[in-house]
Amino acid sequence: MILILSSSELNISVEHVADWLDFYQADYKRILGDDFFSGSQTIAYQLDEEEEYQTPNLDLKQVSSIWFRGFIRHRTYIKNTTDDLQTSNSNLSELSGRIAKALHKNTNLFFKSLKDKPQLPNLQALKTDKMDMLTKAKKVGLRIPKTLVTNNKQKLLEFYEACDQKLITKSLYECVYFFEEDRAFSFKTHLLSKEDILNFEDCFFPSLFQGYVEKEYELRIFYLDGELYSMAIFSQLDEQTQVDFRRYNDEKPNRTVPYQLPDEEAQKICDLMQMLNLSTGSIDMIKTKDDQFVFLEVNPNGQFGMTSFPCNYHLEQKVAQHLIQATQS
Amino acid sequence: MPKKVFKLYASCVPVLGAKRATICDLQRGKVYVIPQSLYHLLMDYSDKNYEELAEMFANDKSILDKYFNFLLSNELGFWTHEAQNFPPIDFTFQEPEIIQTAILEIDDLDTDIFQKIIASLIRLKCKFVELRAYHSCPTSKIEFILNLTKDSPIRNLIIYTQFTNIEEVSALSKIIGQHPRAGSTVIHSCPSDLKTDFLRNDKMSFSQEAISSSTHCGNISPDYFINDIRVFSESLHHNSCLNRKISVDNKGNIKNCPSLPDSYGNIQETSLEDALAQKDFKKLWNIKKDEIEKCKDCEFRHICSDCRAYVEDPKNLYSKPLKCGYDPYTNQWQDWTQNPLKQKAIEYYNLSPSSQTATNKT
Repeated sequence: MILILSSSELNISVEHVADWLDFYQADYKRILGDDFFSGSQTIAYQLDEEEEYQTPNLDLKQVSSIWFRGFIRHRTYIKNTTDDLQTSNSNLSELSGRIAKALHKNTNLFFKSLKDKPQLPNLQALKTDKMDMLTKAKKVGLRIPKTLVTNNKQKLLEFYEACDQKLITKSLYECVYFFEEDRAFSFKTHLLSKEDILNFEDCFFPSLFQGYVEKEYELRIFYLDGELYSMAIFSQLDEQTQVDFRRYNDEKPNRTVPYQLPDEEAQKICDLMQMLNLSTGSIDMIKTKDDQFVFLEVNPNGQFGMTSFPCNYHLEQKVAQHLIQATQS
Repeated sequence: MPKKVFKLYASCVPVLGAKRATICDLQRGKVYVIPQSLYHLLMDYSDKNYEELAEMFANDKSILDKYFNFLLSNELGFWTHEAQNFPPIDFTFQEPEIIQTAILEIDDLDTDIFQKIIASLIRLKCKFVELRAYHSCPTSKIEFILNLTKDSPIRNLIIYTQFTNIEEVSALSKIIGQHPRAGSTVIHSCPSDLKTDFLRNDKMSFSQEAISSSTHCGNISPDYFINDIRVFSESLHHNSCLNRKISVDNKGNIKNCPSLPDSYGNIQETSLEDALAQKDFKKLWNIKKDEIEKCKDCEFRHICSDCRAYVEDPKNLYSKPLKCGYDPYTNQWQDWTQNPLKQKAIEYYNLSPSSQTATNKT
């Protein structure tokens, strides 16, 4: 049985892969992280007896391969606890942080119980670290942007000069969306001016800074078990999308077309994914105006519908086939 | 470094017609009509850089510049020295559902039979359902069908029903407003003085035209062009109307399309799955535009719909759709109902001229 782990949020890729699993008449079950909190999944992990993670509603022995597409939104459970609580903001934020950690520990227990099964991507490799990723990318011979993590204005100003006065900042950890009733916010990539930096305090929250790389176009590459499916995004034609193509222009969407990564670069990506122990992921790269390929990051759980559809790659079908093959081997 | 050549974005696909050509922008959903000379420039000289082209077409340099201006300003292509890294889109057509669209004529069928029909459609992974009521249909019947599709793979239901009175329309508007799977709803045969401002429902539209039978279907018009990768690739490999379609007509006959004569059993005795398994059910599914007379010479062929139920020559499986007023050899759109060459077929199908409206573009 193929086990699909996903969160309760609508995920169109999960729907499409499930359609293909139905088409191939594969046996699969979809569970949500929320099932462990709504009562539809019971957990029992007892150390004095068999030391076995038990989920009575789900026979883990039957699981033959796993596809992970997200699991839990911490905010749901944090909200349950904090809604009626009268306390200071600092207490609330400490509490939220602790609840998130406890949720994470529990999720890890569950993942550990699945550790011997084929997984897409490897559950232990999910929480990637940007600095670790960049270090390893450099090791396999990929070009990376000049990168600095600092809390110090002086260091940042020196770095600003070293990067020819073109600097971006982005989240050190993963991106996330915040939804309000009428709009959504998210962590995006920002271009920093000297004026921005001069307005910083001498000591600020430790943050990630990178030299801005002039693009000819961006690349989004879906990696699946040694195969690369690349797409070029012509974000430079449009001022709105130059720094971050996720500032979508809905009127005139960026041109997104199939791309054939040169063999040498493709090999480096494969080497990196092996080094990161990732069987799948979405890779962001830049092709510069002077014909260099610059690696930005890998997202093990990146959306691939955005690559699959415009390039007609049928990635949902390929993911379904991969899960079925893993079951048979 | 290799020379810079001009490359169309892979989603901008040139299609050659008898007299002119198009570039179908499948990403942005636009179609550009171009002269054949530009088509050949793009196809036959794709390995030449600008200087070479300027030399070859020295006498027509202003046209050459006009062409590239047009292509660049509409963002249809770009100059690149790594053309080999930009492969074309592979237009393989693959979808997981067995049936994509079902058309159900609901006037004369008993409400109960829809349990059987919808259960089959769910097993067939059907995504879209069209409910057609040529006469006035009780809102409760439509509601019953909509409720059967809850939590099913059916993503969208389109509804056609006849106008009865304001109360019924309000009731229906409320129901489709609450039902996430209910899509665009057309109320036909509306009185000319009908005020609809009180209905705040984006899904609903009103038409004075009567849709009184399946003979109203099959119109070919630029209004129905769909310019995207799925439709384009399906059109390259299959029929752009009948592929993965199933219907139940008012008598319960299971057909590929209600307008077609062949029935593969009656829903009272036969399941949709059994009908679909019959040898000939899919016989029209693979008739491609590239094989259809006249359509195969049309520059719009891969973004256009098709019709096999009403064709110019009823005895020819590969005849052009009757209800198309476009002539790819003259590039003129005309009212198909007035075309003298079509009168025989119009008579053959018993299409009364007053009930047929041609959608014309000149």
